[in-house]
Amino acid sequence: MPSPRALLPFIILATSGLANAMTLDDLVPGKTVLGPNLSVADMKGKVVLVEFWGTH
Amino acid sequence: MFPSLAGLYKKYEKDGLHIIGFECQGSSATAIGDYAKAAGATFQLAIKGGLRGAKISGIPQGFLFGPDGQLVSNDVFLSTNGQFAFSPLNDPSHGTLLEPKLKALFQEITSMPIGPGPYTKLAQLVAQVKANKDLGTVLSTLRAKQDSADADEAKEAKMMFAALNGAAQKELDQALKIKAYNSANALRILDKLAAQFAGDAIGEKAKAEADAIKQKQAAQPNEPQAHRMLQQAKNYQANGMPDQAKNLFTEIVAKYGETDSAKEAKAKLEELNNK
Repeated sequence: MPSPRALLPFIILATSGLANAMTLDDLVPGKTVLGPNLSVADMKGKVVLVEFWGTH
Repeated sequence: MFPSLAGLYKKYEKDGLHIIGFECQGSSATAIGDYAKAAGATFQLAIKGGLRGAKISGIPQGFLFGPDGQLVSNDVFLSTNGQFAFSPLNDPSHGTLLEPKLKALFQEITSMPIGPGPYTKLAQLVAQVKANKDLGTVLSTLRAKQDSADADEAKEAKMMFAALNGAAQKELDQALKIKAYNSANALRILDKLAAQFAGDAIGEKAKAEADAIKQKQAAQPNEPQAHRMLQQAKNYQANGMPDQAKNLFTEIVAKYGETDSAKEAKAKLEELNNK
């Protein structure tokens, strides 16, 4: 695992801790800058990996 | 991380894997694009979005959702041996390999049937169905091609249309059948059909039904509970237990007076009191 996993510059959206109750409907795709531009509806029925990452 | 993620996507995209990445350090769209392209990433990369309710403990961090839209893991990571791993929700301290789990989840993806074939004229549409892509357009195209001047094409279109439309209709019927007592499951099916078959009549019908359920849920949030109690009260009545039935009908009216089930309970109560 190429850490660091400790420093996060800012928290994305809410951090309520209700992670287990999340569903794909909680995904907000935002603005696509690369790759396929799928909406949540397009992703339904697929296996979806949502990855939070940084360039630094 | 990124080259490995790019490799994972390329390996499993055809099986139904979708990856969406959110850059969290405020880099520009150009910088993100350059970084990702250098790593060979072809999956969806976005900014100004995220995951409502997500608890991000550090980056990178992955959240995995199954084909039913439910969260499978909030901790997908690249292990020290270079393989992707994940921690199950019920056992967050335990890391296990991701790829076997992905393969199991792919098995849960229900691809729609296309009929026995063989398909020589409609190979492109077969590929679209297998990829679960734009099925509304596929159905609409098949409707038109059933009248094709090319007899072979028309024959294939009729065969595929019957299989695909029949399967979609069957799911729609199932959702409509259960919506009164299991609106959550009905909604899940209807939302899926609406998305899968957008642009075709069956997708529009599913969307209209899903919207109606959502409106009803918003107007009568207690209806599912009231409905369950109503069924129980009816069972009491049917099994010769009128006192228990009356008590439960009364409770439904008192607690959930604004719901359709409470209105029915009130009528049942009057019927019992008049006996």
